Amino acid sequence: MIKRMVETFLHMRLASKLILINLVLIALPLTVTGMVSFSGFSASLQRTVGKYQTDVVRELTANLDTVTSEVNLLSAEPYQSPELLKYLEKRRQPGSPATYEERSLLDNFTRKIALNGRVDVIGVSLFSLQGDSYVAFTDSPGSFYQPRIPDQSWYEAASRSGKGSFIGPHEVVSENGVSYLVFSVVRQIRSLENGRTLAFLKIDVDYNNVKDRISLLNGSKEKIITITDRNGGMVYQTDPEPELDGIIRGLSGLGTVTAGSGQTSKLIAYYTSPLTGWTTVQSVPLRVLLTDTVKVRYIVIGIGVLCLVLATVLSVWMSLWVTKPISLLRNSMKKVEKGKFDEVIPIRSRDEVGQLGHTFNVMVSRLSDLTYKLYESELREKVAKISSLQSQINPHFLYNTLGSISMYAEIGGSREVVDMTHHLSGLLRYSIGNDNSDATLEQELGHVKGYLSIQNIRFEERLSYEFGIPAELLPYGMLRLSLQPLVENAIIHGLEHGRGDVHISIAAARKDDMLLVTVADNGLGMTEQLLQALRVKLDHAPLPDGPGGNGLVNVHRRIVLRFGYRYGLKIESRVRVGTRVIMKLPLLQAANPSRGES
Amino acid sequence: MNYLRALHPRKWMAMFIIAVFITGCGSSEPSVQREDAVSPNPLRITFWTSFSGGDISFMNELVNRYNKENPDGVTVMLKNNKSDDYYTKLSTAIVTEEGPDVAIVHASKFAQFVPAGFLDTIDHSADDAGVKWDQFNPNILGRTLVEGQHYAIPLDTHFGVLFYNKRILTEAGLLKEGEDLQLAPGEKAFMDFLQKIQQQVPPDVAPLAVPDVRIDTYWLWWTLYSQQKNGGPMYTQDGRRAQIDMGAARKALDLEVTLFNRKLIPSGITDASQLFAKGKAATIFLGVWITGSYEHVNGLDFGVIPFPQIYDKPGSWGDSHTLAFPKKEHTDPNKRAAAVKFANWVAHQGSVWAQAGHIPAVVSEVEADAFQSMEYRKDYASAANDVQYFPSHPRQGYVNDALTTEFEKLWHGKQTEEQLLSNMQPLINGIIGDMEP
Repeated sequence: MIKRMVETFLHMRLASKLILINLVLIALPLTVTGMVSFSGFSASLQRTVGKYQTDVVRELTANLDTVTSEVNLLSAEPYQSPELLKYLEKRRQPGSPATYEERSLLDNFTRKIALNGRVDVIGVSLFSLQGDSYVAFTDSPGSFYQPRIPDQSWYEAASRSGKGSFIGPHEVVSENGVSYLVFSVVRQIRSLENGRTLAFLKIDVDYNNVKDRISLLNGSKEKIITITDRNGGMVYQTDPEPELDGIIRGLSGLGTVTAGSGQTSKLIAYYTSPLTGWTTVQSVPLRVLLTDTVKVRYIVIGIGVLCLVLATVLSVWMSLWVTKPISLLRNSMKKVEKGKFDEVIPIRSRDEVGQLGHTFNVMVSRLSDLTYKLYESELREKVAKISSLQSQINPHFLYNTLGSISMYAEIGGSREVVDMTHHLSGLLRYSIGNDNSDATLEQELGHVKGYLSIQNIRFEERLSYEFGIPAELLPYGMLRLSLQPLVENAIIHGLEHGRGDVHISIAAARKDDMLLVTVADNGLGMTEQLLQALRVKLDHAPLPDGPGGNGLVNVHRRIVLRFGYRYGLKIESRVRVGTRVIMKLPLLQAANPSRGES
Repeated sequence: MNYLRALHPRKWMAMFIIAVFITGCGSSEPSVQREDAVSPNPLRITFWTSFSGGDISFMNELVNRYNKENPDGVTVMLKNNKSDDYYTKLSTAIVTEEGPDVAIVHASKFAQFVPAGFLDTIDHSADDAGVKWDQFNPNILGRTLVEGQHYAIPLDTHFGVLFYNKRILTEAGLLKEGEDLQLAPGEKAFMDFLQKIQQQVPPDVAPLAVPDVRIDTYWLWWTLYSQQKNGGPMYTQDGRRAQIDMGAARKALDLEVTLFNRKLIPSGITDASQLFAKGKAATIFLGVWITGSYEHVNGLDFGVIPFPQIYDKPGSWGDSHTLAFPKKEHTDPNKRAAAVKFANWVAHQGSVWAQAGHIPAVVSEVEADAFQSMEYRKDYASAANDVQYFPSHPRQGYVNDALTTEFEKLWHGKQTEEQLLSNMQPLINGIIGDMEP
């Protein structure tokens, strides 16, 4: 699977590869970074909000505790008064009248607590375990009484510890019959000498002290503050919140809880005062706290998408920018491969690709030069060879000799010899003539006719031929001596190697911008294999050195060399049907074709 | 190298891509700071002491060292208190649940603090903290045991000894150069020794310095009283009534009165320790805790011997510092464990604590070279076994306070020796009379 993916990747276009890599390199880290940083941000924001909320309740609790700790300190007052401790340690009979000193001791003590100047004390009660208890409200004089201490609601909590024990809001009625809403602290007073419990001191403080402080601190209507005592009892609540009652009553310690879900979910922060054991709970709708997160989420996503789009566009553009000159180079190379040496790449930059293009251009032009030079030198060599051959034969001597033969034949009455010598002389004149210029179709045909006349005499009725040349094609140019080898080829293969008769038809036609000259025979034909070998030979075999045997190859090469690969010979053949050679030539208006040597 | 070359470029490419992925992913990790809602709360334990002078600096040194060295991350918060009101403060703090985690409590306080429920037993935590009770001096350890239960880790014992100024005694011809003081037992030898000093030294030099204010003369009386065969007890077996051997009490007080009358102890000394430090006293009866301070007084050439045996047996007033653990409504077991561990550690730092002058309660600390090589300490270390503690009585503190006042009255002419002696038992009975059975 992975192997196949890698394989696919490796075979992709360069531009696609680059785009893919760029996208992976840009988009992936961008997406991951965005996602991680956003989730990190939103988590840290939630944490911060949670922490902030707990700080708020802590603050609130601390504020409340400035009142309660004051009361708490007041409740330890008996330990500052050795006289009072001594009085409390003394065994007294319940109901026995107190002495003046004792009464004034208690009176001074309760007054000192009531007039502390910091908290609004409503009443002070000293529940003595031996002898009478004493209670003093601020609105009435103090008095002795005998309550059953273990029956008091606070007894259990207060007797467990020497700390002040806090009691939530409750009503007390003073001696004057006035009822007050108070919260209280009760402290167990123990002997410093033997640790025995001597009494309980209860200080009642105006509940408004608590209420005012909280309502002052709570600004928002969305936030609801609740204070519960150790047992989950309600001490205070700014607004009723019945749906969260169950949760709130169970909280203690320090922390946050999320209650509910969706739009209605609330963040509940709570803190239990170590002093009073009261838990301050504040609940705030989460949506109020997290408005910022939503905003930031959209911004992060927006920026992310924008960056992604930008990065994609940029990477596509860049990949194309890098690979385009390379594709151009590749296309040009393909053309050069097919032989088009006139290909030039436009050079737009001086970077590596530009240099490559430049080098390519130089290389192609050199290659073109070299190819040309090669062919030229080949040609020169041929021409030199022909010239040397020509120079070896003295044409005038041949012509004169042929003239003499013809004369003697005429005198002898041999008409055939006269004709043959006449044709031979024409052939020689056309072939050996020093005229290297192009010939016309007409001239070539004349040459072929002369050649055929001679061959006709040789093979008599075995050879028959016909011409199908439209007159308007006759003036078109051809390579000199290019048609005769085709006919010769047909005669050699049809008559010299075969036994039956041969009919050769020579035709010409114009097709688009091409001149097609066809030489067809009804000779032996070739097998498919032979034909294929011949076709290969046409294009690739080394140019034959000597004359003969390679007429077709020679002609084909000359045409290709002269006019290009579009032109040349095309051979079709079928066994026992015949062979057909088509010469493709450009339409050359031979304006002034030489007529050969006259 | 060949291996590298063998890698195909495509493989390099693939590796590069993978590498970019890895680093890319790595670098995209956001720098979010983790905020632990509950940071690991280092354990803090509070430690109250009531030291003065040299003691507190040595204890400070120990606490600082413990805070730095202990591997548990425990921080000990030392609070030193004025010794006069220490026990009132400590007991108030305990009954109001504001007490420290560990506090210095004198062994003599256990008779009051344990029945009052101010202290916790530590048998259980001590095992966990690795406290080995057999390492402690049994004489000292016995004071912290109530009804077979351990209530504290003994730190030291300290007691009254006799410091002497070598220069003055040499000048008086009572000491040869380079020698230590040797005092024969017995009342006569002691008196002769002081009288010889008195004859030889200038009048502004005290033969024996004991302040006639505060508790010192009462300590001297208790030392003399408890050295006698019949001396020692102050109460009946059940502790409900005073029972002093008046013969022995009188004998001891007689000697003190004589010393004052003959000006062998000059009157009007308020700061005896300073007097000795300045070279204005030939000898002084004082607790061992001053040793550390005297060592650092320039030009003070002094020696120290256990308080001489004047009567039937050796002995001197003394007490022990212990590290005790105030009772609380909710004791955090971790804090308690840490406190016990700390206390046990402090008890084993004898070489530091002994610099103050105390005799460590851990036996091996006394036997250690570090202690034995310390000057002076070894001269009185043996006396730790003869320490005469005050009787174990819940109201001993009140009795001591009352008797101290009585002694001050005597020295300042507010009452006679007879009056003091006849008032002694009624006074004690008055203090302990209303005690619950």
